[in-house]
Amino acid sequence: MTPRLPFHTPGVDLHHLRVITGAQGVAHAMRQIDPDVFPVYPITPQTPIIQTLSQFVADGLCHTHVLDVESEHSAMSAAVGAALAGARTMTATASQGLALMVEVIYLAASLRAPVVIAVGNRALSGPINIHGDHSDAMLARDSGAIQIFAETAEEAYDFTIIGTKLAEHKRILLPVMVGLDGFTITHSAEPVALLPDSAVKDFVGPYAYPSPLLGNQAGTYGPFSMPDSYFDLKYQEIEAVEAALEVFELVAEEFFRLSGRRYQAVEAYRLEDAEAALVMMGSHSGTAKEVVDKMRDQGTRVGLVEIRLYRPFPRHAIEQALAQVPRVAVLDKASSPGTLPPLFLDVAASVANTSKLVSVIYGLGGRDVPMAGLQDILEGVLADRFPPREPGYLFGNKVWHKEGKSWPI
Amino acid sequence: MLEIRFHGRGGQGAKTASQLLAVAFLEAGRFVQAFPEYGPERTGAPMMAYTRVDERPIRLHAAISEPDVVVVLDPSLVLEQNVTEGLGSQGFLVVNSGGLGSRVILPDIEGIVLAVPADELAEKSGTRHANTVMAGAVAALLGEPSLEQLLGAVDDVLARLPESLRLHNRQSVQEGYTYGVNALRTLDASSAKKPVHPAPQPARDTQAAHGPKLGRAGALIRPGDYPVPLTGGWRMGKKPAVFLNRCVNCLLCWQFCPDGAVVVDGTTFLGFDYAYCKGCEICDAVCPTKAVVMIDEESPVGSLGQLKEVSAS
Amino acid sequence: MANIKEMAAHSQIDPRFGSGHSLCRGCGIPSIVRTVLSSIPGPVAVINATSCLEVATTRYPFTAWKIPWMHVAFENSAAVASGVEAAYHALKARGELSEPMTLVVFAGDGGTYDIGLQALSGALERGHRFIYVCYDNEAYMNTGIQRSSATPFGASTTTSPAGRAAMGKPEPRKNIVEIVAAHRIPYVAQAAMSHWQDLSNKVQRAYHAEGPAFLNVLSACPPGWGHEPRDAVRVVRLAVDSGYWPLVEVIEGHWRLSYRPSERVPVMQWLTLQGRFRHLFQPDQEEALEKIQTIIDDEWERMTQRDAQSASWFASEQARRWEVLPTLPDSWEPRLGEPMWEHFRKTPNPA
Repeated sequence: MTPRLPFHTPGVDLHHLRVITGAQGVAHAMRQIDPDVFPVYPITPQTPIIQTLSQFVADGLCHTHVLDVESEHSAMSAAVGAALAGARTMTATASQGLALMVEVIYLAASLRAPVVIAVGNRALSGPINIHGDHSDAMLARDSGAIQIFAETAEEAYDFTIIGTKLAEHKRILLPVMVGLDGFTITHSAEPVALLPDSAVKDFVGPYAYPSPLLGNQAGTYGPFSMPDSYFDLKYQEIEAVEAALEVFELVAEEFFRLSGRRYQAVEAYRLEDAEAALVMMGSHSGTAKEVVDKMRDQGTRVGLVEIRLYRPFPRHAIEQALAQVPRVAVLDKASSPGTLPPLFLDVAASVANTSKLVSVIYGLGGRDVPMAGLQDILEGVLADRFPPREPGYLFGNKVWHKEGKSWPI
Repeated sequence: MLEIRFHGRGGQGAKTASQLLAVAFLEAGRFVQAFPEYGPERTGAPMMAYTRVDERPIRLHAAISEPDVVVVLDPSLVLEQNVTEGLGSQGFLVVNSGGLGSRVILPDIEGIVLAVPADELAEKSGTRHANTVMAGAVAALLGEPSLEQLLGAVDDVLARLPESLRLHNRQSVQEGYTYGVNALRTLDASSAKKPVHPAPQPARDTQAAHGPKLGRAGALIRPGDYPVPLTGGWRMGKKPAVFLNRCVNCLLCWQFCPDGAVVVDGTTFLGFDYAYCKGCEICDAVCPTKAVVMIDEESPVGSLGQLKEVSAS
Repeated sequence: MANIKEMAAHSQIDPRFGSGHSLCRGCGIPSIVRTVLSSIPGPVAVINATSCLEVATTRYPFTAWKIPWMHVAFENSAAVASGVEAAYHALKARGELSEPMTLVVFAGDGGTYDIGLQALSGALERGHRFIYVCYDNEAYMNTGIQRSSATPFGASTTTSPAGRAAMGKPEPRKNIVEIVAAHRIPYVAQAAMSHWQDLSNKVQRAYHAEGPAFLNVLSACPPGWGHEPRDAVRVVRLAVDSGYWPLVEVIEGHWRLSYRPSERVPVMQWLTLQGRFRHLFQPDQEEALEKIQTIIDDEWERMTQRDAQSASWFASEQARRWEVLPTLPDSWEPRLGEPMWEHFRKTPNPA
């Protein structure tokens, strides 16, 4: 007797898809882009990216010089050197490795080094933990790097390609961090539609850094700047970061024409007539979409705002998306002890009426985020159960707020 | 509020002078603030330090752009910087005339200008630096703090110095103070004749944005984009000169000159570029034939510092 | 082989480092930079660690550099150079570079011995081809004379000050040349700003090394060491002549002294010129002075032994290819009657 499958529709042709992990997806994008230099240092959960790429190089599928340096600090330093010298450069990291890189990411932004950094987003120690959250990315929040967060393995692949073109755009010339949640995306195998190698090569084009160090002209790169120039130079960098709001749209549009996959800085999911909505980034947005669908099916009008471009922060798009939503929970996969978490603060700065916002911190150190938990958030918001200006904590299926006795010190 | 701006060179003690006055003013029952402005420069480079004095607590933490008193510790700075920038018509300008005496070039301003032979007075007191002399002179001009308060401040600020050096500095403060008191008498008579401007010109907004004037992205500088700063003003009274007839063209001076101020044509030594020479005297120290000599800044020389042997016979 | 005149001519035909910087009066660094850069034929790119040299030569929008130059941070100059070298190979493979380029790193002792050691070690192990020049002035001068691991025993700095209960830095300095030599790179050397010909020769050997080359060059720092600016060359020369700073090279793992003072002068002569050792001349400090002399004597002994052990290798065919024949004898200061002096006397200044 054959077991009965729960399907009601016939299968479709999915031959154009490959089942690969997010990390492998990123590595495939890198193989197709074929950067000149790839300085890197191993760290979980980034390692499958560089292992896969190294194998591609060993098999002669791309020409990248993988530079196995002795720390992430040196990886980013070598990346800045290579990118400014005139070579297309990428790297990858996570967590403590990103923490070690951050000093140089600021410099990369200031020196205008268009390095693409794949980040397998992972919790910061301590205690030491190898699983996913966004606390590492938040360290680089103010660095001048552009940050994109992927929801799926497909998006991790796509954003590596989009990120390269964005980083190297003549109005931008900034490092781009492509975030994919540690394990949830880096290590989960999902169907991914790879583009033809030649299509990707044509899309990103040759690396054409204006005035490279190894060009024919002498130049002083990275001079000392006093108060009479630092602020002006920093403003120049801020303008370039802001310009990425517009250039992201342009590049995403071009990518849509190539792939049929359309990306926006902010995705409004079933927000029409919603009485409550979640705002979040990364892989758990997928779970949230399931929760929204389920609750909508039961007659509850809820929706989701998924943010893909985190820096520059699409303030106006957020304002627009949330304009008609009376109750909003902003979900942070990171904390900022002593105040409200980063994404909440960004959203609060973007909406006219902040009293409709509540904050929930979730999934730290890879804590699972079940559908029931996200549903509890939406129900709590709808019932006005959550106190204002106090973050809630999603442990399992329930949002927890501090009340009464403190936890042992 | 009284605001004092010191112009000095790294190593001349402008910061110490600003602190000295602040500590003494505190003794006099005033609220004070003293702070230096740091650059990437090293000993010899122009720098500034500030002292603020008020009768109530000072909460300002901005640079001083419209000072009441400007103190110049090195006469060469008058040519190198706009030392009177923002100085109002009622302002005081106190300049160390150094070895230049009456030949020091004093800016033409409406306020009170005083040249103090501070190098001389410092030497007389046994110190190398004019900063404490100038602090004494400024106090005398202002009528506050008192000499006793200044001497107390010397003991406090220079507590780490050996006893003998501290005594020399006490002496130099006293010399400066006395000079100031005497000068004030003559100034009172002369300044009465000076016309008083109704209102000072507002100071230039030196902090305004560069806007489109800014260079390429990433602060990239191309050599030749901007003229490099001249560093000849760093010299402190002596400059090198050369008797070419003694020169054997070994080029050791070229080799060791930190400032690229030795002029060479092909492989032949020609002389010195005073625009860049900081007066370190290394050329003199390494010259094997005594062709290079250090002479007074004011002494006449031929082009590139060439000298003719006077008593060749 | 570059002598002083060739370097002077070179620096006019192909100016690389110029005037207008704000390094101190009597600073030893510019002479090292010029000697290094004028001893290298062909195009050069420089990576500079955060240091006196970096901040004082590139105050925006001014620059004293006339060649490609880059600064990223303090601790990572060797890593940045690794990336530039990798990019260089990529560009070369694509045919985008017409002529070979030499990559030179300048860093101070803090950026080399201390915070930059990890990046340096990594880059040396990976074998990137560059010339790493540490200009060693034996403390963090850029931030105001704090002790580094290159600061010698007994020296007073702002973080190892001499006082009633302290006699300056209590620990001897780190031997960076041995550390670097342990990486088995082709060329390692120690030089001094006073001995320009020796330095130039070493730069040329470093230039020919097929792999990383490292030079540790003693500079002078008038404010940090407490001497008159005019004495900069003299102080460094005494460091060499006392044996405190042996001029050595390690070629393919073989050590030799590239210069031997005819007679080693007592280290006291070097110490007394410098304010940072002033406190050691107080009555009860004889022990410290003796210890300094002992440290130097032991080190000198070790160097001469190594030199003797390598003698046969340096006489061998293998060593031949490292020969750089000097056109002028190595002497910092021509004196009457000495051979170099005679050479100059025959060609007085034509101007």
